[in-house]
Amino acid sequence: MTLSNMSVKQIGDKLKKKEISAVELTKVYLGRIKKEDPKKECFVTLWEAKALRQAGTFQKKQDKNGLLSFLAGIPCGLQDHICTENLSTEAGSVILKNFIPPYNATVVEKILDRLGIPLGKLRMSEFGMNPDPIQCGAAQSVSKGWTVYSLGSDVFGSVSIASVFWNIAGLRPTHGLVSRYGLIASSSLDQIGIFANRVEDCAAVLSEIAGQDPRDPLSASFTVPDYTTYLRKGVRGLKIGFLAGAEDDAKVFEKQGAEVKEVTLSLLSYIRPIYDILFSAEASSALGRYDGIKYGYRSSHGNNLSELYTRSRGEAFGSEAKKYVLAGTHILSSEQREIYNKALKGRYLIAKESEDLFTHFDVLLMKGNPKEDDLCLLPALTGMPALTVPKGSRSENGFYGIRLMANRFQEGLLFQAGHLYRSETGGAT
Amino acid sequence: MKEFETIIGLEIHVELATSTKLFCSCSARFTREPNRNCCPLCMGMPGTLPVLNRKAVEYAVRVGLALSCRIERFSRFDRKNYFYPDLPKGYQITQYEYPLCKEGYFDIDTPQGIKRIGIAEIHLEEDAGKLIHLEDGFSLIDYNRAGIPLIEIVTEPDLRSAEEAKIFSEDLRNLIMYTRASDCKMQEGSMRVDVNLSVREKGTPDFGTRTEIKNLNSFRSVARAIQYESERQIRLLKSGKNVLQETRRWDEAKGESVPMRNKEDISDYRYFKEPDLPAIILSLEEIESVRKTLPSLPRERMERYRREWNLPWNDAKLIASSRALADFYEKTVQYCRLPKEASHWVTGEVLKKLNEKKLVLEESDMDPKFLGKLILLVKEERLTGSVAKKIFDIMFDTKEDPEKIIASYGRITVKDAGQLDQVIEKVLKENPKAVADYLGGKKKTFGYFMGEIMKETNGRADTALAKKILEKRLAFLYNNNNPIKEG
Repeated sequence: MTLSNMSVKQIGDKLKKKEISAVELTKVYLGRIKKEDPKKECFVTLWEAKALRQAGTFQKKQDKNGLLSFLAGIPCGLQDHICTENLSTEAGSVILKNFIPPYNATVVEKILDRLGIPLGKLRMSEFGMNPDPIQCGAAQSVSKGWTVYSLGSDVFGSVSIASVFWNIAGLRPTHGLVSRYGLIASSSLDQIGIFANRVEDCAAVLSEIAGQDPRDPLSASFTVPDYTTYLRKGVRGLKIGFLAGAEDDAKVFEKQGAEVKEVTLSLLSYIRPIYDILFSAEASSALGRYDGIKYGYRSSHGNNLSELYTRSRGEAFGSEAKKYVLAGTHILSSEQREIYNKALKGRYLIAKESEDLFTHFDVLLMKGNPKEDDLCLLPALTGMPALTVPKGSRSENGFYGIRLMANRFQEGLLFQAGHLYRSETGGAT
Repeated sequence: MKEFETIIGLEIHVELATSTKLFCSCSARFTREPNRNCCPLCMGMPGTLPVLNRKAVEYAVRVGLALSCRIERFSRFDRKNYFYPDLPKGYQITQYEYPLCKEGYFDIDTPQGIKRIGIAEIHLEEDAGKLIHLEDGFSLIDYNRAGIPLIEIVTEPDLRSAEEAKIFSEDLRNLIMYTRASDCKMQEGSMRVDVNLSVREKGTPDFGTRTEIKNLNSFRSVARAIQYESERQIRLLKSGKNVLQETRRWDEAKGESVPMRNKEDISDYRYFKEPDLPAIILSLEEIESVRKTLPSLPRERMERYRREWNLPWNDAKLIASSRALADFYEKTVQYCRLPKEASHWVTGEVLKKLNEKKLVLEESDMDPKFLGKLILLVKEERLTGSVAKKIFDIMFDTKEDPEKIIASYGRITVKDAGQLDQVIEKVLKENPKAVADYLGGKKKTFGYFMGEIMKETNGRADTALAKKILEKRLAFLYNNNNPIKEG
């Protein structure tokens, strides 16, 4: 077994038994990254010294207290819009050039507290606004074996899209389960996501990074379970609704004792326009703070205040950011208000339909897709969790795995179903 | 000749006196050191999230209750989007659609009697930072103020004159200070008044075009700006011109308002629901528990002073205008049971002294019990008024019991037995009837003599010594049964 194939738990066991030291492990990962990503196309910042220092700290503490957490000693990656104290965080945008936040995101704090070992910051599209999976360094890093898991974010369904594209597992947690403090978001629809090779790794990481945060007023008071206990529960008796196209996958569950039934979503065609409207509106406001005054990029051509604004923003924002700022500004203008209000109403109806669906079903099953579709936006609009599961064997082409959704805070069900799917389709467990 | 009337509505911003800011734990205290009370959130750094300070909600509710508003059990925040360097996030978090308090009123005392002014709403919002423009064309930004909780009190257009607006603002300031929700220091900008003003021909039902006047940082400028703007608009209408809808800036030095921006420049603030914050949900119990923290308010106290203690209107109003003063007054009365006398002292000597020393009552550390004692001493004629004032002056500085002051004061002054004897002899001579009463058995007259002795000596007589000599003299008269004859 090579290191790159091991799960969070397997590595944890090796560390515990001292078959490998955290420093050695970190060196292996750093070496691989330096060799395979020499131009820093995936790791925009590599924290060599810092990672090795953290590994050293881990070793000292391990000698005293033993392993304390799933994350302890595990090398990981952070997408570059997750704020890291005193370390460059540019969120893929020129406007945040050389921005160094004086604070850590809550998830970073949790990883560091648990003696996890972040190796550096990962490439992303500007503010993650483009869900093109090629630009998703978080998924890429996991797929290439450069990190054991990486944290990124879900914007325009990017967790699901990139997971399928890179053939790894990806989780978008329930809104409010993982603190968003320190996530450079363009809208409240954005959510921190977990990328890992396996479903069980997503479960382990979620168990550690979830939980109420006094710094995020929308984080929920919820007792976080050990999600890995759900992994081997199987699906017997679970009610699984599937959408057209996922018939074959449904059979995998049916064979293991789940009740499966095809379902339809009547409001499917409204999902994208509603997402577009709400996202643009919020992004136009959220990006207002990038004005060249306080931090980040400032144009040297501004001769007066108004010019300083337009030049700084004009020169530094990319086309995606400009597109959404323009669209959002238009949508929120008093003349166009109705559009925004209708989208809010539509979002409510869509969430309602999904909730109704989950009174009859435990899990919603759909086909994975490496490209944008409407369904990948459903978790963001409903605040519900989604897990993308790669098919167990990587050899088959054209088969993209599945996407699972459950009601809010029902991540346990997703892990139950997802883990089973992966092992049934020949994946390592 | 057409007659015009002026229609005025006010928007009053008041900084709440919470110890921390509205959405972060930075200190909200005023400081002169720029950018001292700042954190990533109030600097608008990305990834930070606002966390509501519940104390600010409580303070706003206090003001809402004091203004007889309906406290909304559901309210929430909106974003007001615009660009300005003092606004770190590119938007202000405010309440637009669902404000915290609605539909209240405030009764003010105008020369024509009590007038009820409607309060349309009170909403909670964050303050912006401050720009400092340098002479060389550069500007600096101080974000200390950014994120300090503000309430905006919006009145109905019920005010009709500069005088009414001034009375309203002053009384409102007193009321808010009563609730301790704000210190309302206009010079530090913790209370700011904007005026909305239009004029119309008397008798017409519709409002004219209104202008908004900003930058009013004293009650005097509020009154002056209204006077100026009202005259300006009437002049325009009389000459057949129209009033332009615009925002004007008051220039206190020049005594005039100048246009700031007109209707076309008014930005579209693109308000929408603040997605990072949950709604404010208040239970009836929470609202009631805030109500319990409210003291008896100025109007209630003023009416009580007039009704129960018969104070003249002016004194009652003056005392009730400040919570500290009213509390002090009531405690003084509690001790001496002489509300009239206490009111004279409080509105007279106490205020005079505070003014002189440039202190507020809370800072003076005065003990109302001692003032009460002093008032009783005067009432018992153990002190004359003028002496009492001198004792008060000492008391103000030393915070000592007046009895103690008198004792020590007396000892250093008239303790010459010979001199006192002369005074006493004179007093007895001048009051033959009282002497007769005393000798006839009315022992209470003794106090009267002591009072007269104090009067004669300007209160400087050593009480113990005077008492001794007086006793001796009276005993002598009694023993000899030799009343002093007239002449």
